[in-house]
Amino acid sequence: MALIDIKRLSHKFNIKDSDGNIIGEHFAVRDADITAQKGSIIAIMGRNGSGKSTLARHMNGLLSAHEGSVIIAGKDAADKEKLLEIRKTVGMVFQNPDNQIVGNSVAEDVGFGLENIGMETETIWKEIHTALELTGMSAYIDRNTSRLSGGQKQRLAIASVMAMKPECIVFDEATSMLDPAAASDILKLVIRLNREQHITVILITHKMKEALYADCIYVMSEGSVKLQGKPQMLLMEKAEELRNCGIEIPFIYKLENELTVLYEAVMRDKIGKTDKTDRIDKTDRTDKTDKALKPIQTDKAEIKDTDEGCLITDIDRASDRLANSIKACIGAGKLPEQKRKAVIDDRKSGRYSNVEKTDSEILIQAENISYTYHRGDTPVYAVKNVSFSIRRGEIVAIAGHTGSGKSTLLQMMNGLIRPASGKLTVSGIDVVNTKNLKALRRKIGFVFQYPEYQLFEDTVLKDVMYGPKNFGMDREQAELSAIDALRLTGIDEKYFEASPFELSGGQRKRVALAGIFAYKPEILILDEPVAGLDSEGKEMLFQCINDFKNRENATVIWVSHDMNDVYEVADRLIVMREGSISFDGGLAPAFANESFVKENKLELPEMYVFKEKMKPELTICSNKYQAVVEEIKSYFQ
Amino acid sequence: MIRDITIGQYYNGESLIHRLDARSKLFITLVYAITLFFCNDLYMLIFATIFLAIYIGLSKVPLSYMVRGLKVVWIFIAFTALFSLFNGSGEVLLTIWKLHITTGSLYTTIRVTVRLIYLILGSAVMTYTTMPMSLAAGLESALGFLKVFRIPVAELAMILTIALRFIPVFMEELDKIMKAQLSRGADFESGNIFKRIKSYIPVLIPLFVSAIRRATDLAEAMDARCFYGGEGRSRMNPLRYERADYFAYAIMIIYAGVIVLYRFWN
Repeated sequence: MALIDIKRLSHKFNIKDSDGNIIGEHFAVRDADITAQKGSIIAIMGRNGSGKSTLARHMNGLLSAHEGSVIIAGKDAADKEKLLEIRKTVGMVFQNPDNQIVGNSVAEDVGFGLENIGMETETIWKEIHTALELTGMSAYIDRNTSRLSGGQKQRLAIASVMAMKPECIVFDEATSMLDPAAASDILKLVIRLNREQHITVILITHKMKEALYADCIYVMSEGSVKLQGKPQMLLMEKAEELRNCGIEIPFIYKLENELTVLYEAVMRDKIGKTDKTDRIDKTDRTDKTDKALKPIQTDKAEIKDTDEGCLITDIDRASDRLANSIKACIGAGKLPEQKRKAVIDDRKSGRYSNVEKTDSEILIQAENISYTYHRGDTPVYAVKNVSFSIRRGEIVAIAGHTGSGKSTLLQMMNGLIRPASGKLTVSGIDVVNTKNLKALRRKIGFVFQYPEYQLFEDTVLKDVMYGPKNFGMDREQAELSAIDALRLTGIDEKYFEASPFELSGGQRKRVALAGIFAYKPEILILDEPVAGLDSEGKEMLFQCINDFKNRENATVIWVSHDMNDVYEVADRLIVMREGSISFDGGLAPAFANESFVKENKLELPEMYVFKEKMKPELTICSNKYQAVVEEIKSYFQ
Repeated sequence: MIRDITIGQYYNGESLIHRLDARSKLFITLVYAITLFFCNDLYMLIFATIFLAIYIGLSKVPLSYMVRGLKVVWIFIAFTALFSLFNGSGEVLLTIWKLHITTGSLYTTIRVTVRLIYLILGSAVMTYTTMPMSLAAGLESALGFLKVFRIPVAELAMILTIALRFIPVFMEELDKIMKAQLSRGADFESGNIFKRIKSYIPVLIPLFVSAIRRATDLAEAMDARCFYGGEGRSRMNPLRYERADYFAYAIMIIYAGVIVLYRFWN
């Protein structure tokens, strides 16, 4: 019998007009069928708002079904008497680390659920210790929960659920607010709990990288289950459908799909089987699917913790496969010599590489800037003797862990924090001594993390006008620039008079961005701008930022933990560590230094790994996905 | 900065005071607070000072840490002091515009300020040395008699615990929202009082919205972890009186006795 058995589940919300009258209904979930066997891992994917979280809340009785049936471990969730049993059987870990911790100390939080079910004091403490041990949190038992990092908080949330001895845990985007290193730590823990404690795992996620571990993926769109199957099968055979449901395909599969046609054509020419294209295609594909399915089975048994904090996934294997196929085509010497030469010449012209800017004016110049704060009576350097310069039009990524001094450094740029010593000039303004901070702040658009949470006006348009008006524009001018900025960020005119709180998460983020674009800053500082967005939202946001940058020739300083994004977007990388800059330069030299990557706990970009695998036969210059595709294609044409 | 607010926060440590039952600490705080109002001459203030010094010493919470906690309320203390400084009888020492500082008012000011600081420090020891959950449990037990009047004491205690848990979260959030709006050109410092209050709207609305969002999330998380209100809950840290607690009660009764007797003899 399945542990979770959901049949034809529907859940609807009433749509109300502004007076609160019900004018219709909206199905968040419609006719969903989902089963999870005991001990399995099930992933539920879909874009934000596809109904996956609503569905998850039925699994432990937080919501009750309007239609259909939900049976958990043989108990009907519609039966109110069974609710407590069901909640004990199925635990939940939520998205926001802060909003699910009740206790002031780690032990208190783990004990909370146990107190609720009326367990005896001695048993409570025994269970607390066991659960903390299981999740690697034993050392923090007395720690104040507000002093934990995001990753530790999620670990604690898992411990608190594990203490209740559940059979199944639902993870509702539990890693989406964490940096990649912490996220992969949490994922590793989840997989371990599944292997060793036989916990059934339901992963609600929009990251394909996580869903690869599932025995079965359910893909939701507009409330319904649109696709269902093993991860490899979906990636190989339903890539197009996945994309239509807003799922981001790992780049290596995307590249594989795009290039397969090409190199197969080359191989065909080589072998001379032009007339049987169809058959070759098919056999080749099924062969690949088979091969791909097998490794993931063995994968399950051999997952181990690696020091690098990365998971050994099938992505790596797919990357090998693709690199070898391409090499086979090119390395066989079938490429005409003059073709090879032409490509190399083309490359020298700089068409594919990211040219470092050395000609434009310097916008930010920092010389030995420092900042100290006091912990108790001892001064601590948040930023220590840092020097760098950034030119107009550059895209600089800044990486570094919490506490590396990265946010202090950024906040110095617009005078939220003034350097204690050193010299900092931004757009010609001396930040240390200026009396006119407003003039400085007008030149810098500072987009904080989750900027959508800083919206406050009653209409979208008014909110976007807030910045321009503060910086001295009159009403009319402010409105014009607001409308212009909203258009640039792709917000439809019909939303201009709507309340920002009625919009979707992705839209709110773009409105917040428009609020910054509206006063046309010369420098854009973005702190993890894509956090919490699904792949479509992310792409759209990148597009907005790019459009603004190109139009205004703005400088972009961009904080990100995601090296894949950094590789795709930035020309230059600055890594902060313990208050100092530990690296400042191009992307290639940064990732080429293995010990440096390890020390700073950076994850290698998938694209970089792939490019390394292509060497020595083929050296690819581009970093950006589209450019790489073109560059590889140029060898085949 | 805002994050310096330490009042109401638990200070992780090992001490005699940390080990006392929350109810004993509530009793100490209550008795100390009441007796402070009897202290109106120098000797009594010295007596109260010695008591406070021993109390803080035993709690092993660094004095600097405690004083930092006062930072938040200094404006309140200063305001009270200013108010009493120009309000009293006796010989006029100094006249500013139409306001007089007299010997009487100066003496009252010192007394009021010292009492206020002692009151805050005295109760701060309790919050520094008691885990919020124990404190809530202590309050729940001490106010248990209110249940007769159908006041949901257990739920109120839970609300208190959660409020304390979220203070640092909201402090951080406030800091971030203020910085974000400053970056968008907000000005919290110039203009008259009305303009300044108005300038905080872009900070307060997001903060309220976030509070509601967090509350909804938390309620859901508590539901998922089988919270059904006070009924049928057990305690991981049951309240239990040890020998030290009986001593604490005895000492407090003697302390209060001394002060009351001294007051009536004079």
